[in-house]
Amino acid sequence: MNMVQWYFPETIDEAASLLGRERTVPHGGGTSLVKSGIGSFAGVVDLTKVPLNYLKTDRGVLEIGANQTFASAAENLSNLYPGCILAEALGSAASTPLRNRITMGGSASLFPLWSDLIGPMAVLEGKIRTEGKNAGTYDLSPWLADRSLQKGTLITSLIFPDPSDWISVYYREVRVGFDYPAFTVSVLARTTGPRIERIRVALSGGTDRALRLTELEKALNGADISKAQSLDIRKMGSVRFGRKPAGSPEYLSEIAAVQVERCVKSALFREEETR
Amino acid sequence: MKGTFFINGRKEEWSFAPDAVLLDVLRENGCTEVHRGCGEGICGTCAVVVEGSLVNSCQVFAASAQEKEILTVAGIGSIHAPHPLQTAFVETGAVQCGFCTPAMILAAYCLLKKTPNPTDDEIRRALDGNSCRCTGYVKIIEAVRLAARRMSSHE
Repeated sequence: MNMVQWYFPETIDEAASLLGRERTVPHGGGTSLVKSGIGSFAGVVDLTKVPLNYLKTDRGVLEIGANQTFASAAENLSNLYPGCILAEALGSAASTPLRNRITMGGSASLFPLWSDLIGPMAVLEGKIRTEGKNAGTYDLSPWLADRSLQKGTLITSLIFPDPSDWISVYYREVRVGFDYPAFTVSVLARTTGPRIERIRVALSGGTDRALRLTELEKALNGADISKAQSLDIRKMGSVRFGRKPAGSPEYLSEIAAVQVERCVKSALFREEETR
Repeated sequence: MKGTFFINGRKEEWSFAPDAVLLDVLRENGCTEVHRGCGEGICGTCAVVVEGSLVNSCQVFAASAQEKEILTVAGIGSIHAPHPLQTAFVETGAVQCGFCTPAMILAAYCLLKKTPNPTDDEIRRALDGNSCRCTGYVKIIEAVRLAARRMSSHE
Protein backbone atom coordinates (compact mmCIF):
# COMPACT_ATOMS: atom_id res chain seq x y z
CA MET A 1 0.00 0.00 0.00
CA ASN A 2 1.36 3.39 -0.99
CA MET A 3 1.38 5.61 2.09
CA VAL A 4 2.14 8.86 0.36
CA GLN A 5 0.51 11.79 2.16
CA TRP A 6 -1.33 14.49 0.21
CA TYR A 7 -1.29 18.08 1.45
CA PHE A 8 -3.57 20.90 0.33
CA PRO A 9 -2.00 24.18 1.48
CA GLU A 10 -3.84 27.45 0.93
CA THR A 11 -0.95 29.90 1.17
CA ILE A 12 2.47 30.27 -0.44
CA ASP A 13 4.20 30.12 2.94
CA GLU A 14 2.40 26.94 3.91
CA ALA A 15 3.22 25.31 0.55
CA ALA A 16 6.88 26.37 0.71
CA SER A 17 7.17 25.04 4.24
CA LEU A 18 5.68 21.67 3.27
CA LEU A 19 8.10 21.42 0.35
CA GLY A 20 10.97 21.73 2.83
CA ARG A 21 10.15 18.25 4.11
CA GLU A 22 12.08 15.24 2.90
CA ARG A 23 10.84 13.44 -0.23
CA THR A 24 7.96 15.86 -0.72
CA VAL A 25 7.09 17.15 -4.18
CA PRO A 26 4.76 19.82 -5.54
CA HIS A 27 1.84 18.95 -7.84
CA GLY A 28 0.36 21.75 -9.91
CA GLY A 29 -2.02 19.58 -11.88
CA GLY A 30 0.10 18.50 -14.83
CA THR A 31 0.95 15.03 -15.98
CA SER A 32 4.60 14.46 -15.04
CA LEU A 33 3.96 13.01 -11.59
CA VAL A 34 1.21 10.77 -12.96
CA LYS A 35 3.69 9.40 -15.48
CA SER A 36 6.63 9.02 -13.08
CA GLY A 37 4.51 7.79 -10.18
CA ILE A 38 4.45 9.05 -6.61
CA GLY A 39 5.31 5.77 -4.89
CA SER A 40 8.81 6.89 -3.92
CA PHE A 41 7.65 10.12 -2.26
CA ALA A 42 6.54 10.67 1.31
CA GLY A 43 4.33 13.63 0.45
CA VAL A 44 2.66 15.39 -2.47
CA VAL A 45 1.76 19.05 -2.10
CA ASP A 46 -1.28 19.87 -4.22
CA LEU A 47 -0.98 23.53 -5.20
CA THR A 48 -4.45 24.13 -6.60
CA LYS A 49 -5.64 26.05 -3.52
CA VAL A 50 -2.54 28.27 -3.39
CA PRO A 51 -3.43 31.65 -4.98
CA LEU A 52 -1.06 31.38 -7.93
CA ASN A 53 -3.56 31.25 -10.77
CA TYR A 54 -3.19 34.73 -12.25
CA LEU A 55 -1.75 36.67 -15.12
CA LYS A 56 -1.02 40.34 -14.54
CA THR A 57 1.01 43.23 -15.88
CA ASP A 58 2.66 45.94 -13.86
CA ARG A 59 4.65 48.75 -15.46
CA GLY A 60 5.22 46.71 -18.56
CA VAL A 61 6.30 43.57 -16.73
CA LEU A 62 4.19 40.47 -17.35
CA GLU A 63 3.82 38.03 -14.48
CA ILE A 64 2.16 34.65 -14.90
CA GLY A 65 1.30 32.71 -11.75
CA ALA A 66 2.63 29.16 -11.48
CA ASN A 67 -0.86 27.65 -11.38
CA GLN A 68 -2.00 29.18 -14.66
CA THR A 69 -2.54 26.41 -17.15
CA PHE A 70 -1.15 26.62 -20.66
CA ALA A 71 -4.71 26.95 -21.98
CA SER A 72 -5.59 29.86 -19.67
CA ALA A 73 -2.27 31.61 -20.18
CA ALA A 74 -2.53 31.27 -23.98
CA GLU A 75 -6.04 32.70 -23.97
CA ASN A 76 -5.19 35.57 -21.60
CA LEU A 77 -2.02 36.42 -23.52
CA SER A 78 -3.83 36.39 -26.86
CA ASN A 79 -6.23 38.99 -25.50
CA LEU A 80 -3.52 41.13 -23.89
CA TYR A 81 -0.81 40.83 -26.53
CA PRO A 82 -2.19 39.67 -29.89
CA GLY A 83 0.50 37.83 -31.84
CA CYS A 84 2.66 37.28 -28.73
CA ILE A 85 5.09 34.38 -29.20
CA LEU A 86 4.29 32.99 -25.78
CA ALA A 87 0.56 32.82 -26.53
CA GLU A 88 1.24 30.99 -29.76
CA ALA A 89 3.67 28.52 -28.19
CA LEU A 90 1.52 27.68 -25.18
CA GLY A 91 -1.62 27.48 -27.32
CA SER A 92 -0.03 24.97 -29.68
CA ALA A 93 1.53 22.71 -27.04
CA ALA A 94 0.23 19.14 -26.63
CA SER A 95 -3.57 18.89 -26.98
CA THR A 96 -6.63 20.61 -25.54
CA PRO A 97 -7.13 18.34 -22.50
CA LEU A 98 -3.42 18.44 -21.69
CA ARG A 99 -3.18 22.21 -22.11
CA ASN A 100 -6.00 22.39 -19.58
CA ARG A 101 -3.77 20.65 -17.01
CA ILE A 102 -0.16 21.61 -17.73
CA THR A 103 0.78 24.57 -15.55
CA MET A 104 3.41 27.25 -16.04
CA GLY A 105 5.08 26.34 -12.76
CA GLY A 106 5.13 22.63 -13.49
CA SER A 107 6.56 23.23 -16.93
CA ALA A 108 9.26 25.53 -15.52
CA SER A 109 10.10 22.90 -12.97
CA LEU A 110 10.82 20.25 -15.59
CA PHE A 111 11.57 22.04 -18.86
CA PRO A 112 11.57 18.77 -20.79
CA LEU A 113 13.34 18.51 -24.15
CA TRP A 114 9.99 18.91 -25.92
CA SER A 115 8.98 22.00 -23.93
CA ASP A 116 7.00 24.63 -25.80
CA LEU A 117 7.73 27.16 -23.06
CA ILE A 118 11.50 27.11 -23.05
CA GLY A 119 12.19 28.71 -26.46
CA PRO A 120 9.86 31.70 -26.01
CA MET A 121 11.18 32.06 -22.47
CA ALA A 122 14.75 32.24 -23.83
CA VAL A 123 14.01 34.93 -26.41
CA LEU A 124 11.73 36.94 -24.13
CA GLU A 125 14.41 36.71 -21.43
CA GLY A 126 11.88 35.54 -18.86
CA LYS A 127 12.71 34.72 -15.27
CA ILE A 128 11.52 32.25 -12.69
CA ARG A 129 10.39 33.55 -9.30
CA THR A 130 10.49 31.26 -6.29
CA GLU A 131 9.73 31.13 -2.58
CA GLY A 132 11.02 28.78 0.10
CA LYS A 133 14.56 27.49 0.59
CA ASN A 134 15.99 29.07 -2.55
CA ALA A 135 13.69 32.09 -2.77
CA GLY A 136 14.67 34.45 -5.53
CA THR A 137 14.35 35.38 -9.18
CA TYR A 138 16.35 33.29 -11.62
CA ASP A 139 17.35 33.67 -15.25
CA LEU A 140 16.71 30.65 -17.42
CA SER A 141 20.32 29.46 -17.83
CA PRO A 142 21.29 29.19 -14.15
CA TRP A 143 17.89 27.67 -13.42
CA LEU A 144 18.45 24.96 -16.03
CA ALA A 145 22.04 24.40 -14.92
CA ASP A 146 21.27 23.72 -11.27
CA ARG A 147 18.35 21.47 -10.46
CA SER A 148 19.20 21.61 -6.76
CA LEU A 149 17.70 25.11 -6.75
CA GLN A 150 14.30 23.44 -6.79
CA LYS A 151 14.81 21.45 -3.60
CA GLY A 152 12.49 22.77 -0.90
CA THR A 153 11.49 25.56 -3.21
CA LEU A 154 8.15 26.63 -4.70
CA ILE A 155 7.96 28.21 -8.14
CA THR A 156 5.47 31.06 -7.71
CA SER A 157 5.51 32.80 -11.10
CA LEU A 158 7.28 33.43 -14.36
CA ILE A 159 8.06 37.03 -15.21
CA PHE A 160 8.71 38.57 -18.60
CA PRO A 161 9.72 42.01 -19.82
CA ASP A 162 7.01 43.63 -21.95
CA PRO A 163 6.37 41.02 -24.69
CA SER A 164 4.55 43.41 -27.02
CA ASP A 165 5.91 45.17 -30.11
CA TRP A 166 7.98 42.27 -31.36
CA ILE A 167 7.59 40.61 -34.71
CA SER A 168 7.47 36.99 -33.65
CA VAL A 169 7.74 33.63 -35.33
CA TYR A 170 7.39 30.31 -33.54
CA TYR A 171 7.95 26.96 -35.20
CA ARG A 172 7.58 23.49 -33.69
CA GLU A 173 8.84 20.41 -35.52
CA VAL A 174 6.06 17.84 -35.18
CA ARG A 175 4.59 15.10 -37.33
CA VAL A 176 1.05 15.79 -36.07
CA GLY A 177 -0.15 18.72 -33.97
CA PHE A 178 -0.26 16.98 -30.60
CA ASP A 179 3.15 15.35 -31.04
CA TYR A 180 6.09 16.24 -28.81
CA PRO A 181 8.16 18.70 -30.85
CA ALA A 182 11.58 17.39 -31.86
CA PHE A 183 12.75 21.00 -31.66
CA THR A 184 11.31 24.48 -31.63
CA VAL A 185 12.53 27.73 -33.15
CA SER A 186 11.64 31.07 -31.56
CA VAL A 187 12.42 34.37 -33.23
CA LEU A 188 11.71 37.91 -32.05
CA ALA A 189 12.62 40.91 -34.17
CA ARG A 190 12.23 44.65 -34.13
CA THR A 191 12.89 46.61 -37.29
CA THR A 192 12.94 50.29 -38.16
CA GLY A 193 12.64 50.79 -41.89
CA PRO A 194 15.30 48.61 -43.51
CA ARG A 195 17.31 48.30 -40.26
CA ILE A 196 17.21 45.41 -37.82
CA GLU A 197 16.95 47.11 -34.47
CA ARG A 198 17.07 43.87 -32.48
CA ILE A 199 16.73 40.18 -33.18
CA ARG A 200 16.68 37.21 -30.82
CA VAL A 201 16.74 33.60 -31.95
CA ALA A 202 16.48 30.46 -29.83
CA LEU A 203 16.52 26.81 -30.75
CA SER A 204 15.27 24.27 -28.22
CA GLY A 205 15.40 20.49 -28.27
CA GLY A 206 19.10 20.11 -29.06
CA THR A 207 21.76 18.87 -26.67
CA ASP A 208 21.68 22.39 -25.26
CA ARG A 209 18.05 22.61 -24.16
CA ALA A 210 17.44 26.23 -25.09
CA LEU A 211 20.21 27.73 -27.09
CA ARG A 212 20.23 31.42 -27.99
CA LEU A 213 21.97 31.69 -31.36
CA THR A 214 24.11 34.61 -30.25
CA GLU A 215 26.53 34.54 -33.20
CA LEU A 216 23.59 34.92 -35.57
CA GLU A 217 22.00 37.60 -33.40
CA LYS A 218 25.26 39.60 -33.29
CA ALA A 219 25.63 39.41 -37.05
CA LEU A 220 22.13 40.76 -37.62
CA ASN A 221 21.60 43.23 -34.78
CA GLY A 222 21.87 46.76 -36.17
CA ALA A 223 22.40 45.51 -39.71
CA ASP A 224 20.35 46.17 -42.82
CA ILE A 225 17.60 43.60 -43.34
CA SER A 226 19.18 42.64 -46.67
CA LYS A 227 22.10 41.13 -44.73
CA ALA A 228 19.83 38.20 -43.88
CA GLN A 229 19.93 37.28 -47.58
CA SER A 230 23.71 37.11 -47.81
CA LEU A 231 24.46 35.57 -44.41
CA ASP A 232 24.90 31.80 -44.09
CA ILE A 233 22.10 31.48 -41.53
CA ARG A 234 21.94 27.70 -41.86
CA LYS A 235 25.55 27.37 -40.80
CA MET A 236 25.04 29.71 -37.87
CA GLY A 237 21.85 27.90 -36.91
CA SER A 238 23.40 24.46 -36.91
CA VAL A 239 23.37 22.85 -33.47
CA ARG A 240 23.93 19.35 -32.10
CA PHE A 241 21.09 16.95 -31.39
CA GLY A 242 20.82 13.62 -29.64
CA ARG A 243 18.96 10.68 -31.18
CA LYS A 244 15.18 11.06 -31.02
CA PRO A 245 12.12 9.20 -32.37
CA ALA A 246 11.77 12.03 -34.89
CA GLY A 247 15.13 11.34 -36.51
CA SER A 248 18.89 10.94 -36.29
CA PRO A 249 21.06 13.69 -34.79
CA GLU A 250 22.36 14.58 -38.26
CA TYR A 251 18.88 14.81 -39.76
CA LEU A 252 17.51 16.93 -36.93
CA SER A 253 20.53 19.23 -37.01
CA GLU A 254 20.02 19.76 -40.75
CA ILE A 255 16.30 20.44 -40.68
CA ALA A 256 16.58 22.63 -37.57
CA ALA A 257 19.11 24.80 -39.40
CA VAL A 258 16.73 25.08 -42.37
CA GLN A 259 13.89 26.11 -40.06
CA VAL A 260 16.05 28.67 -38.29
CA GLU A 261 16.76 30.27 -41.66
CA ARG A 262 13.07 30.20 -42.66
CA CYS A 263 11.92 31.63 -39.33
CA VAL A 264 14.49 34.45 -39.34
CA LYS A 265 13.59 35.39 -42.90
CA SER A 266 9.90 35.11 -42.12
CA ALA A 267 10.32 37.52 -39.21
CA LEU A 268 12.43 39.97 -41.17
CA PHE A 269 10.68 39.85 -44.50
CA ARG A 270 7.26 39.05 -43.08
CA GLU A 271 6.98 36.22 -45.51
CA GLU A 272 4.19 33.75 -45.14
CA GLU A 273 4.68 32.19 -41.75
CA THR A 274 6.33 28.79 -41.68
CA ARG A 275 4.03 27.19 -39.15
CA MET B 1 -7.94 7.80 1.58
CA LYS B 2 -11.51 9.09 1.33
CA GLY B 3 -12.79 12.02 -0.64
CA THR B 4 -15.85 13.88 -1.85
CA PHE B 5 -16.53 14.26 -5.56
CA PHE B 6 -19.41 15.99 -7.32
CA ILE B 7 -20.26 13.71 -10.24
CA ASN B 8 -22.88 14.98 -12.68
CA GLY B 9 -24.37 17.05 -9.88
CA ARG B 10 -24.38 14.20 -7.33
CA LYS B 11 -22.25 14.30 -4.20
CA GLU B 12 -20.26 11.10 -3.79
CA GLU B 13 -17.96 9.92 -1.00
CA TRP B 14 -15.44 7.45 -2.36
CA SER B 15 -12.37 5.64 -1.05
CA PHE B 16 -9.30 5.46 -3.24
CA ALA B 17 -5.55 4.86 -3.10
CA PRO B 18 -3.33 7.96 -2.76
CA ASP B 19 -1.85 7.31 -6.20
CA ALA B 20 -5.13 6.41 -7.93
CA VAL B 21 -6.05 8.31 -11.06
CA LEU B 22 -9.52 9.74 -11.55
CA LEU B 23 -10.29 7.36 -14.44
CA ASP B 24 -9.94 4.29 -12.22
CA VAL B 25 -11.92 5.79 -9.37
CA LEU B 26 -14.76 6.80 -11.70
CA ARG B 27 -14.95 3.39 -13.34
CA GLU B 28 -14.65 1.48 -10.05
CA ASN B 29 -17.63 3.45 -8.80
CA GLY B 30 -19.88 2.76 -11.75
CA CYS B 31 -19.09 5.56 -14.19
CA THR B 32 -18.23 3.12 -16.96
CA GLU B 33 -19.30 5.65 -19.58
CA VAL B 34 -15.75 7.00 -19.03
CA HIS B 35 -13.73 4.74 -21.29
CA ARG B 36 -10.18 3.55 -20.72
CA GLY B 37 -7.90 4.14 -23.70
CA CYS B 38 -4.15 4.52 -23.82
CA GLY B 39 -3.65 5.46 -20.17
CA GLU B 40 -0.93 7.87 -21.33
CA GLY B 41 -2.89 11.06 -21.94
CA ILE B 42 -2.55 10.73 -25.68
CA CYS B 43 -5.85 9.36 -27.05
CA GLY B 44 -8.36 11.37 -24.99
CA THR B 45 -10.82 8.49 -24.70
CA CYS B 46 -11.10 8.93 -20.93
CA ALA B 47 -11.82 12.67 -21.10
CA VAL B 48 -14.19 14.19 -18.56
CA VAL B 49 -14.95 17.79 -17.67
CA VAL B 50 -13.48 18.96 -14.36
CA GLU B 51 -14.59 22.41 -13.21
CA GLY B 52 -15.54 23.28 -16.78
CA SER B 53 -12.32 22.13 -18.43
CA LEU B 54 -11.83 19.04 -20.55
CA VAL B 55 -9.13 16.80 -19.03
CA ASN B 56 -7.84 13.29 -19.56
CA SER B 57 -9.00 11.46 -16.42
CA CYS B 58 -6.11 8.99 -16.74
CA GLN B 59 -3.74 11.92 -16.12
CA VAL B 60 -5.49 13.38 -13.08
CA PHE B 61 -4.85 12.12 -9.57
CA ALA B 62 -8.16 11.38 -7.85
CA ALA B 63 -6.75 13.10 -4.77
CA SER B 64 -6.43 16.37 -6.65
CA ALA B 65 -9.98 16.08 -8.05
CA GLN B 66 -11.59 16.03 -4.62
CA GLU B 67 -14.34 18.61 -4.03
CA LYS B 68 -14.42 19.30 -7.77
CA GLU B 69 -17.41 19.30 -10.14
CA ILE B 70 -16.89 16.43 -12.56
CA LEU B 71 -19.04 15.94 -15.63
CA THR B 72 -19.18 12.74 -17.64
CA VAL B 73 -21.16 12.19 -20.82
CA ALA B 74 -23.98 10.71 -18.70
CA GLY B 75 -24.37 14.12 -17.10
CA ILE B 76 -25.24 16.06 -20.22
CA GLY B 77 -28.17 13.97 -21.46
CA SER B 78 -29.88 10.62 -21.28
CA ILE B 79 -31.42 8.19 -23.75
CA HIS B 80 -34.81 9.78 -23.08
CA ALA B 81 -33.58 13.38 -23.06
CA PRO B 82 -30.42 13.46 -25.15
CA HIS B 83 -28.25 16.54 -25.54
CA PRO B 84 -28.32 18.02 -29.07
CA LEU B 85 -24.74 16.81 -29.48
CA GLN B 86 -25.74 13.26 -28.67
CA THR B 87 -28.61 13.44 -31.16
CA ALA B 88 -26.36 14.92 -33.82
CA PHE B 89 -23.74 12.19 -33.35
CA VAL B 90 -26.41 9.52 -33.87
CA GLU B 91 -28.02 11.24 -36.86
CA THR B 92 -24.80 11.85 -38.74
CA GLY B 93 -23.39 8.39 -38.09
CA ALA B 94 -20.56 9.90 -36.05
CA VAL B 95 -20.95 7.28 -33.31
CA GLN B 96 -19.31 4.54 -35.38
CA CYS B 97 -17.81 1.98 -32.95
CA GLY B 98 -18.68 4.21 -30.01
CA PHE B 99 -15.42 3.87 -28.13
CA CYS B 100 -14.26 7.47 -28.45
CA THR B 101 -17.79 8.93 -28.53
CA PRO B 102 -18.29 9.93 -24.86
CA ALA B 103 -15.04 11.89 -24.84
CA MET B 104 -15.63 13.36 -28.30
CA ILE B 105 -19.04 14.60 -27.18
CA LEU B 106 -17.56 16.17 -24.04
CA ALA B 107 -14.80 17.85 -26.06
CA ALA B 108 -17.45 19.26 -28.40
CA TYR B 109 -19.61 20.21 -25.41
CA CYS B 110 -16.77 22.31 -23.94
CA LEU B 111 -16.19 23.93 -27.31
CA LEU B 112 -19.84 24.89 -27.85
CA LYS B 113 -20.15 26.28 -24.32
CA LYS B 114 -17.42 28.74 -25.16
CA THR B 115 -17.83 29.11 -28.92
CA PRO B 116 -21.45 28.51 -29.98
CA ASN B 117 -20.71 28.93 -33.70
CA PRO B 118 -17.29 27.42 -34.24
CA THR B 119 -15.42 27.32 -37.52
CA ASP B 120 -14.18 23.96 -38.80
CA ASP B 121 -10.70 24.92 -37.62
CA GLU B 122 -12.01 25.62 -34.15
CA ILE B 123 -13.79 22.27 -34.11
CA ARG B 124 -10.65 20.43 -35.19
CA ARG B 125 -8.61 22.26 -32.59
CA ALA B 126 -11.09 21.48 -29.82
CA LEU B 127 -10.98 17.80 -30.72
CA ASP B 128 -7.21 17.70 -31.15
CA GLY B 129 -6.75 15.55 -28.06
CA ASN B 130 -9.34 12.92 -29.02
CA SER B 131 -8.42 10.02 -31.26
CA CYS B 132 -11.06 8.13 -33.23
CA ARG B 133 -9.89 4.58 -33.79
CA CYS B 134 -12.29 4.26 -36.74
CA THR B 135 -10.61 7.38 -38.19
CA GLY B 136 -14.09 8.73 -38.83
CA TYR B 137 -13.39 12.37 -38.18
CA VAL B 138 -15.44 13.70 -41.10
CA LYS B 139 -18.71 12.55 -39.56
CA ILE B 140 -17.67 13.70 -36.10
CA ILE B 141 -16.95 17.21 -37.35
CA GLU B 142 -20.25 17.14 -39.26
CA ALA B 143 -22.04 16.20 -36.02
CA VAL B 144 -20.50 19.09 -34.11
CA ARG B 145 -21.47 21.47 -36.90
CA LEU B 146 -25.05 20.16 -36.87
CA ALA B 147 -25.36 20.42 -33.10
CA ALA B 148 -23.94 23.95 -33.17
CA ARG B 149 -26.51 24.98 -35.80
CA ARG B 150 -29.36 23.45 -33.84
CA MET B 151 -28.28 24.87 -30.51
CA SER B 152 -27.86 28.35 -32.01
CA SER B 153 -31.24 28.30 -33.70
CA HIS B 154 -32.88 26.41 -30.81
CA GLU B 155 -34.20 23.83 -33.28
